Amino acid sequence: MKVGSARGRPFGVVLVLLVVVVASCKRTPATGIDQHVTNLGSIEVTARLLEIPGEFPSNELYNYAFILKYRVLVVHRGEIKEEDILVGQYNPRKPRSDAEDDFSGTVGGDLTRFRAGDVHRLALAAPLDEYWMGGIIDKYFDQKGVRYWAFWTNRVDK
Amino acid sequence: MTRCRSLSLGLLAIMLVAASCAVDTRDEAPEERSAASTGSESAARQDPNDPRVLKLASEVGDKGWIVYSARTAKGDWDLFLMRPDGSARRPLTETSEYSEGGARFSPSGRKLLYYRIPTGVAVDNNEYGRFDLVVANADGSHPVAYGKDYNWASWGPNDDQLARLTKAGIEIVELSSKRTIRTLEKQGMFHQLFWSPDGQWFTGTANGLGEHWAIARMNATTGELSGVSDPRCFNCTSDWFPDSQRIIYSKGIPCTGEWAQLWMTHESESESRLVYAEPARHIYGGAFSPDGHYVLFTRSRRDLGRVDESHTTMGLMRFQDAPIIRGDDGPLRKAFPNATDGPVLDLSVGWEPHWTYADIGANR
Repeated sequence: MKVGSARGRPFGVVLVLLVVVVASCKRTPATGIDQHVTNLGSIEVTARLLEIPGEFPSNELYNYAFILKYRVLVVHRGEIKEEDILVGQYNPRKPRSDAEDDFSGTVGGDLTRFRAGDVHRLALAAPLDEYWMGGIIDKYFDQKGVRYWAFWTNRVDK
Repeated sequence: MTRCRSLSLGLLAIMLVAASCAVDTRDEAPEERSAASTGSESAARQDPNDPRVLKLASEVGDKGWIVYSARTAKGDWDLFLMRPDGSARRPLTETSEYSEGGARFSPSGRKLLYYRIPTGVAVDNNEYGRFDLVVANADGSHPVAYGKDYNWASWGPNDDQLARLTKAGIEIVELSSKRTIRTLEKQGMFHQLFWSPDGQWFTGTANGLGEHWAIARMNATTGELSGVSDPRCFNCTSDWFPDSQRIIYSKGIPCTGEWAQLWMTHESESESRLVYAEPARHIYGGAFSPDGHYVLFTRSRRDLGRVDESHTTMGLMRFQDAPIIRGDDGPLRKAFPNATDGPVLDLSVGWEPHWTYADIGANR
């Protein structure tokens, strides 16, 4: 079956390459900086999500905070002494922009999905239970230490 | 004579089928459920084949009153009052702009606290205590709204003190002055807080005791807290026995398989034991009669959550008959070989029943 002429093919390849180059030039790497992440809470960090310890339960029955472990890469604001921190993310099945509700207080960001290994810019505060009065799923419950509350979570390009 | 006997047997069979159909229909259809919430039929009719149920119904029939929440024909949830055998039902609140739930009689039985939720907002077993607290007379008269600052309020040892959960901690409030008398660190307690009748303890659902939330027991003087339920599973809706020593609560997934069960414990998880379970219902909201002889609970077809989607009905049993497993010949009964099969009195549709022996219904 004839799908294209030999003369037209090099032109097509060049065009596709051009589009790809232009598209990649237009996209600036996400730094995660916005007016929310730089102002909310008392701590701001860029941190890598180390793992997702199990499945996030559905929100059909309850709203909850799920504890995630991050490795702190940069502290932008406030003070954090630990290398790894435990952060409560509210209803993490939802994109951050849809997570806020009547019970959560301010929660948001541009992150659409939590994936292990990704880097986030986070506005945090502690202790968690001063900001969230509801269920917490904590797979690290046997590890002592502060649990932070994530107000804002933005994606950062690695 | 033979023809007459055949006719009688046939009639009896038709009556039995009709009676059992009535129970099923009420359990199934929302319209029927709404009607039943205001109906006045005796609960004894719900299980005509079991004389043990009839005996239980006659035993509790004049022992005070039960308040509960049920959906009305308008679609909102109102409070209703009934005798413990399910008779003499009548509405306590008839508001179209609010749903009401989570009702609790005060220690004297003279007052009632409950939460009101704007109509249109889902009534939710895990969230209702975050809405507006109302305190009224036990017959529903003179309701006073206290607003949203009284999360998960619970009566204490008298009618003028409440405990509430705030972000600052567990606060004890004098109702008449609205003054906070004392604040304790909440140590992970986050909802369904209940203060013991003697004022010495709190129980509630708490974080930090395991991977999932669990039942905590806290000394109201020292603040010392301990977990009393299995930390490997979701547990909730705890409440005190009248002796202020033992706790009744619901134990859920993943420990109980698919369906939440009613359990009791004392000071630690190792003392816990089954009170009531069914293979196809979630059991929540365990609450005792004032003398501790009977247990009330909510049965739910779907896990709670949202109450309006869960086909909730209420049940009543003798505590001395525990553990009871109803309607199961399979794994549940094998797991609890000493469990009996009842009797359990079905109290028709409703959610979060609570019991007083005060004579609050006599005046109306």
